[in-house]
Amino acid sequence: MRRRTVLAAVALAAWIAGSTLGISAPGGTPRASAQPFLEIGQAHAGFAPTLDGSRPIFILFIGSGARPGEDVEHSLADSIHIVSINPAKHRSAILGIPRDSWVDIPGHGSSKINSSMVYGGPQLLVQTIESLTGIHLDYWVLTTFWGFTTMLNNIGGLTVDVPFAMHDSYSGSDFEPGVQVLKGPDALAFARDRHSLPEGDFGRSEDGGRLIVAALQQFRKEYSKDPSRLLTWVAAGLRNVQTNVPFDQVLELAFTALSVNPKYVENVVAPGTTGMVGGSSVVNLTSQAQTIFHDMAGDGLIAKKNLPPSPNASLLGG
Amino acid sequence: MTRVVVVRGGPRYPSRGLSEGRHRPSPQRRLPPAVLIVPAALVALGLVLFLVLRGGSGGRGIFGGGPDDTIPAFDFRITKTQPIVVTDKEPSQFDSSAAQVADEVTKTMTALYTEAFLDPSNWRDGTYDNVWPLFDEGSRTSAQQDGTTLTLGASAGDTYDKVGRPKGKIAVKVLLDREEKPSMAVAIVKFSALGTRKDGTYTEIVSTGQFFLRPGGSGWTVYAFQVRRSDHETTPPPGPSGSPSGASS
Repeated sequence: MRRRTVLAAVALAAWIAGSTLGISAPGGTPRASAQPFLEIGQAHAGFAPTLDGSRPIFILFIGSGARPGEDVEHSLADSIHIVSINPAKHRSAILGIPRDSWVDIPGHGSSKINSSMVYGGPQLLVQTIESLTGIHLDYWVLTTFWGFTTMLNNIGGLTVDVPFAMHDSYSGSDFEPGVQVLKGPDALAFARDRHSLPEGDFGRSEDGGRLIVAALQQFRKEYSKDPSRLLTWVAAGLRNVQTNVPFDQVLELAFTALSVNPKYVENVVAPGTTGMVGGSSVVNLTSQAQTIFHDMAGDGLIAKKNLPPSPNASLLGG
Repeated sequence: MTRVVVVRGGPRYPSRGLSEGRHRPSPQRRLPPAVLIVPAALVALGLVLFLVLRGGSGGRGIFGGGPDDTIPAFDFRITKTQPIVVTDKEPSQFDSSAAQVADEVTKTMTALYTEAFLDPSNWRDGTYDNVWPLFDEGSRTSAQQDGTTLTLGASAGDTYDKVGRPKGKIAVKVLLDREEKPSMAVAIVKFSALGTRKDGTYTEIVSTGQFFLRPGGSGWTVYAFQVRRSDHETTPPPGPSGSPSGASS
């Protein structure tokens, strides 16, 4: 009896020890290798919040003609561009509106569109353009000659592919064609030059759009190298513009803009014919301009069939 | 001088009166000590071997050589803080405010990298539940989808025995809004740690990136990010390899 008890106890102990060793010994059944797991190598993760892609965003960019000391918001609008972003399609369009366009200004009868801001500030200009185009403008952004110059200096200048030679003593432009970095004053000269261009203000408006495309291109390039540059751009913009874009939306707009490929940005100017009204030179927008407005109001983009010829086509060789 | 007292036969302790003369002492009560000692020793031996060897197969050993659950000490080292303003004021006026934000942002980033790469209880199981609340609602889903890059990975426990020697640098840019309140920050981070693989080789785990953070109810949380991993093999380092006690810098 004693012997059996001893044997049983020894067997039990051996079984416990053996079992324990058996399941824990090296070389036992390994765990299944699950994925995912980053093996040695490169990997990238990224996320940027963008605005809801369910509808296009329209922003009115205004260049005030105010001189230092003048009321920026109630001066003639020197340049007018509608910029749309279609977040879903990652595309955009820029539509320049000639500043001498003869239009109805709500509450003020017919007049040049640039005088709309004199009568009622950016808000009335927005109302005038909405009435003219049928496009609902979400935001407006207003800058000045000096604000524009400072803004571009704050970002270190803008790389622009100057498409043709420009030499104009009025604006100060003095460029040979080719890619070059324009500091603030040069960029302003590029944006203001109309005397070098065969179609005058129409061509000038297209060049304004060209700068916006160049800015988008550079913004994306800088962001891809150093995302924190977004803060520099946002700050440079906000320091030098007046706008009704809420601060938090500025950031989301900036992220949304990053999703737009500059190659897919249409840059056009509303077509018109020149005429005279009471001794003033004016632009009468054509029916094609109305077609473009209608087209753009839908998804923010302009169909190829509705694209007007470039006002600088003769200089571009087109 | 040691006195040996020999007890011969009979009970060692006084028997209760009731037992006396009525029952003979049971033979089982006189089992030889070996009957108890040998099984007990074997059980103890088995237990010791279990605890020692279990560590080598991914368990948690109690002696050196097996993984443990110690989280390596780690803090990002702030290298630069920069306030960015949207008013005409001098940015340097906001240095202290930016420094305060940098401290808070660094806390978030230290927590994120500790949970994502250093806490063995996370990477052994491949679950990183404490990482995701550091991302805001808008970015959380994307972060989870990018979990392989943003963390050590779901099956890191199959590959690594240890992760230690963490090092991290952080630069923080702080954007102040029109009311001069900190509204957004970008954390530019470089993190590395030494992974000791089960096959005895070493991997330098490297994560560099930029995180956009906004203040919220529970501190600064991530709402956008661009992160790159560039892990690579490395040679055995001098000193205690992959030691969890490796100093952070």
